[in-house]
This record gives sequence, structure tokens and C-alpha cells, in this order.
Amino acid sequence: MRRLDRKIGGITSLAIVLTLLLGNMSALHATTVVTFSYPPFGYSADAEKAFWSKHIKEFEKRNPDLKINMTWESWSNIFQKTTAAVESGMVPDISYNSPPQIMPLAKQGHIMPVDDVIADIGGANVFQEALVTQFVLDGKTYSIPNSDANLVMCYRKDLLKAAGYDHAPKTWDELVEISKATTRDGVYGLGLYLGKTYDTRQVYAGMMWAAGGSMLDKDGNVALDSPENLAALKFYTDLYIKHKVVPPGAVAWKYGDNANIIGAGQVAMTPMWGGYGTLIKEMFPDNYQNIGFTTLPAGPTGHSGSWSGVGGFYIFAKAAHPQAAKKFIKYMSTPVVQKEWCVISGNVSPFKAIAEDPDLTKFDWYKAIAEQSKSSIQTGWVSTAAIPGLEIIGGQHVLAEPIEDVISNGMAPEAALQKAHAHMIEIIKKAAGN
Amino acid sequence: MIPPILPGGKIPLGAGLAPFAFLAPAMIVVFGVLIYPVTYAIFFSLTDKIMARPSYHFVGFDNYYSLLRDHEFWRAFNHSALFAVVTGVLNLLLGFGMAMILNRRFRFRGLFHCILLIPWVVPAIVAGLIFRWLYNDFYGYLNHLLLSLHLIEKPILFLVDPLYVWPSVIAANVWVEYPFVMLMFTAGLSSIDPDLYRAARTDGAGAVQRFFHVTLPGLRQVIFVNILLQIIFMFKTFNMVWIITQGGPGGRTELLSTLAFRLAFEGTQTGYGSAVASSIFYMLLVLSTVYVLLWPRQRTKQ
Repeated sequence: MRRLDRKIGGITSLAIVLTLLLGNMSALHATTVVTFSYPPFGYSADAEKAFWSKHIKEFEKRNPDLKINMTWESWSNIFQKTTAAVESGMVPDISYNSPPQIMPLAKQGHIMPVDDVIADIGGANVFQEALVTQFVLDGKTYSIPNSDANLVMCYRKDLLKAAGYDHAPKTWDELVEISKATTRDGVYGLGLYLGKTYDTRQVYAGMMWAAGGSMLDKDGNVALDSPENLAALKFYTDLYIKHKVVPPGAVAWKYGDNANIIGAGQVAMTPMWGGYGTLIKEMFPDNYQNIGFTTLPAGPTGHSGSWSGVGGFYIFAKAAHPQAAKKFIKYMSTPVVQKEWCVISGNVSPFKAIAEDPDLTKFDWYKAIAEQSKSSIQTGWVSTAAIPGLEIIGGQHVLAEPIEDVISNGMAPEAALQKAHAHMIEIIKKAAGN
Repeated sequence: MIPPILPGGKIPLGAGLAPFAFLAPAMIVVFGVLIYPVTYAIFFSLTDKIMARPSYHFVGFDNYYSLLRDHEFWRAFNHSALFAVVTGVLNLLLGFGMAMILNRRFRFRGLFHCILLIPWVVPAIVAGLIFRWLYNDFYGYLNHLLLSLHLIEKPILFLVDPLYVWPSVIAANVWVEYPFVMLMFTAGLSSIDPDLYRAARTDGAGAVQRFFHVTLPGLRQVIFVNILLQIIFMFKTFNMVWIITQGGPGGRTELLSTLAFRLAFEGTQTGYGSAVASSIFYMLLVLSTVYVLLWPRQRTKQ
């Protein structure tokens, strides 16, 4: 019995020693897990997943002590999930979004300035200025721009040619002319969103800019009811009401409908995210050579206007591993990765040196977005942190309201714009009081 | 083990804990996924909470006062009430009619039963997308069919034309929802004693008399349950309408549920959006109370 006790005692001691040894060994190889919450652009989900997987593996190979735990989110609810995470205190290390969603978090101190990362990458000057400006608050930068999505004009070369045109419209007048000429035999000249959707407000924001208007004036005051914005609204709605070049069904269009419809040859032109260029062969194997991309036509100002969907990385103030997070962001911002990313994401690089790289501009969709990027806006270049409630104005599609009110509710453009202007002021006032 | 009962019918403290132990998991789930979030939503409806900001203030009933003056709220309320009544009635009529047919004996009855239940088991997102495709003016099958039969000269704008948008949304919802009513009525019909029909036939009752004097009284409970459930289910409809129209065009199909989602989630106005969502809850609470109060009477009558 005593011998058995000794044996059991020996085995137990050995087990304890082994456990301690193994524990120490695993501690020697402990890896830091960096959590990264990301909403994919989604033109080609497979290509995007393969891209991130490849570069995460490469990063982990170069940094054996680091591991990236990436979670895929949806653009439609990443903001809601992020705010819930902030409130619960359980935040990831890195996330990704646009200025209207990032900057309110910056203003409240939930995310950390990343000027050191920007400096390590080469300084703010290596980025397109307008893209960085939107992430600046009180002299500090809160996000590292990663890509810039742009709406451009997608057109059917065959339909334009059949109507006697060898080029897409360069001005608003030409847009009306070519749209009218291509509206025939059941085909409509222009596919334009008319409901209360993201696409409607984004195209209209671009037209406002092309007309010399903006959502906010230079002091950050609401300027929606300006004569320039009214001119843009009248132009937008006249395309449907007066010129009848937009399919009536466009009132009920949802995201992506215009891409399917131009692919089927039922509209000759449509403002569309240039990123669709990455998918065009896959979507329309029989027709892709008939589809072209160019910048949106210039308005009364002489320049065109588009919506900028700049996306960037940001790090939470309560991130568990900020240094490791910065290391990963720097890796993803290297020129080689950036160039590859442009082709996968369908977006323009925010880096000046890469934005117009000939390897990228050889694609006509990329050439169009790179050119369009120079005249793209989000809120009129004002840092979105300066104006409270811009995320609400975006989420509620306030810019699409006047279009819907004119098209579907029969309101006069002046009254519709006044209504949206008042709505915007009300939201900002409410948000400011919070 | 049955707990001992004390004089006066009381159960001693600590005895008979088994039922509570069995009910506990369900109660925890109900608390976690229903009572806690609903209470939280009601709490937020009394604040000026905005999603992007953790700080908020208690504003009492301000959000509810604002709702009373909000044209969009009343428009959505009217739409929800109308939608609940029209869709509910159509579901009841169609479900009842189909159940009556399936209650007869004919070949492949089981197969037809299964086929008719398919819409109900199809996920709402799939059904919604099917109907969006069906109604499309460019590539929709319905327009294609009507055009090829020369019944129309140009595509109908089912989701744009004010004349068609409500019927289109209601038809889609009825297609998805009526099988549930049908199922309830089928179960009800099968529980009616066949001897009652035989006796009625012996007494010389015709088909109409058998329907009014045997079938309908036998289904009283099921009819009552179905009416109340349909009003409740249809009043809180969200998925199908959101997928098909998102409340458009121009707010013509906006329901209270879609308005609440638009304000609270898309618009990130948690406080005000919660007030809309909570108002739906209060209305449904009243309807559910009616159900709970009237149900025992119906059973007694039966």
C-alpha cells in the first residue's frame, strides 16, 4: 500500500513538473492576437477574402509573435456593432470605416490619434490631401486612409455608337443630349436612382458639387438650400420628369440594380461605383467589352462631382495591442500591398504615388475612378467631427429626401429642398444637444 | 415526487422545486432575449440617446409627444393598421378555403398539403427577393408573362405605381403567411367529430347547413385564435416589406416597424427610434391582453 502511495506521489509530482515546464515553454512562444473588424467592399468576395488571407499569412510569417484575428462585418451594420462594442468596453484593436462613422468616435476619445503611423508611412504629404483632411480633428489624425471608392459614369459603348456618339457625355448638356438620343426601342438613356437610397444621395451630392454647391458652407453651416444645390436638384429630377430619359422603375431600385440593368443593355449610361469594373467580365461575359467607364459629366462649374467613399483603418483607445495593430496597418499600407489592393477592392489608392500608377490606370474603370477622385466629396471637405449628427444625416438619406419628394410625392424642388434643409438643421441641433 | 400539501391547500416552502427547475432555462432565455431588450428599448425611448454617443439624457415622454406630432409616424400607423386588417383577412379567407379543400379526400392530398406549405417555410429574405424579381419592370417574370399573353402593352410598375404597390406587397405577404392559417384550420377541421356530420346528414342537413351548424361552431376556437394572431403578426410585419420596398416609394408602404428600423438603426437615433418600436409593443400588448382575457371564455363556450 505504501509502495502504491509512493508511486502515485511520484507520478503526480512528475505531472506537475511537466505541466510547469510545458506552461513555460508555451509562454515563451506566446502570440499576441490582434483583433481586426472589417467590412468588405464586396465586388468579388472571393478575391477579397483571398487577398486578406494571403497578406495576413504573410504578415504573421514576418512577425511570428503576432496573429491577426479578422472578423468580417457588413457595411450596413458595422457602425451599430462598433458603438455597441464601445459601450460594452469590449472593442477590437483595429476597425475600418468612413469619416462620418469614425470621427464621432474620435471626438469622444474612443479612438487614438495615429499621426505616428502616418509619419512612419511617409507623412501626411504622401496621401491625397482631401482624403486625410476628413480624418483630422484638432490637429490630430485619427485614421490611416486605405482606399477611396468613387462613383463614375458607366456606359454602353454599343448603345452610344448606335445613337451616333463615340464618347460618353463630358458636360451636363451633353448628358441630356446623349440620354435623349439613346432613349429608344425600350432602352432608357440614363439609369439614375430615384428612391431614398444611398445611391440617390451620393449621386446627388456629386451633382451639388458639380453645380458649385455643398451640404455645408465653409464655416460648417448647413447650406442645403443654396441656389447651386437647387440647380442640381432641378437638373437631377428633370432628367426623369422633363426629359424622360430615366426608367420609371428606378424609383424602386436598390443597390446593384443599375449594374444589372446596364449589363442587360436596358440603359445606356448610369453613375456607378467604379469598383464594378473588377467584376464586369464575370457579371457580363458576353457584353463586358461594350461597357466603358469614364468620369461623370462636368456641371455648371466646369468640373464634375462625385461621392468619395474613403475608407481607413483606425485603432481603438482601449485596444489591447495598439503597437501590434500599428505594425499590421503599416504592412497593409506598403506600396506592393496597396497596388494589389486597388485591383481587388476596386478603389483608388489614397497614396499619391500609387493613385495614378500606369499598372493600374491601364484598366479603364481604374483610370476613371483615379481621375474622378480629384472631384469627389463627402461633406464638402469639412472634417466630419466638426458637425454633430452627420452620421444620422447619412443614415437617414437626408440628401435623397428632396429627390424622392419631387419624384414620388409631387413636391416643387424649392419646397423639397427647404424641407430637407430644415430636417438637416433639426438633426444637427438635436445631436449637438446630446 | 409529488410535494406534500399542507392544510388549506398550501405547498410548503422548498417543496416542489422541480417545475421551477424545468422552467428556469426557458425563463432565462425569455428574460435574456425578450424582457431585457424590450425593457432596455422602453428605457431608451425615454432618453435622447443617439447611437454614436454614449452620453444621453432622460427626457421623460418627450419622444412620445414628438411622435404624436410626427406626420411620418401617423402615416406609418395608418399603413400598419390597414396592412394588418387587409392582409389578415386575406390570410384567413385563403387559409380557410385551402383547409376546406384539403379536408376532402382526394388522391395526392398529402402531396398538395406539403406543396401548399412551402411558402411558409421559405425564409422571408428568399421570398422577398423572389417577389422583387417577379415584380421587376425590366426582367420580372410577371410582366414578361402579361406581355407575352398580350394582356398589357407595357410593363406594369408594380413597386412604383401607387395603384399597384400596396396590392403587390400584400400579395407577397399573403403568399408567405396564409399556409400558417391553413395549417391551423386543417388541424381544427380534423378535430371535428365525423359522427356530427353523419348525424347531420341523417337529419337531412345539406352542405350549407352542415357548414354553418357543424363546421363553423367546431372551428370557433381556431377562428378566434387565428384572427387575433393574424392581427398581431401582420401588425408587426417587417421583413417582407423591408426587402420588397423598404417602405417606398415616397413612404407609401412605410409601416411602424420599417419606420422604427429606419430611425433607430439606419438613422442611429436610438431614443426616438425606440419610442416608435415601443409604441408597437404597447399596441401589441393591448391586443395580446385581449387574447389572454378572451381565450378562457372561448374555451368555456366550446
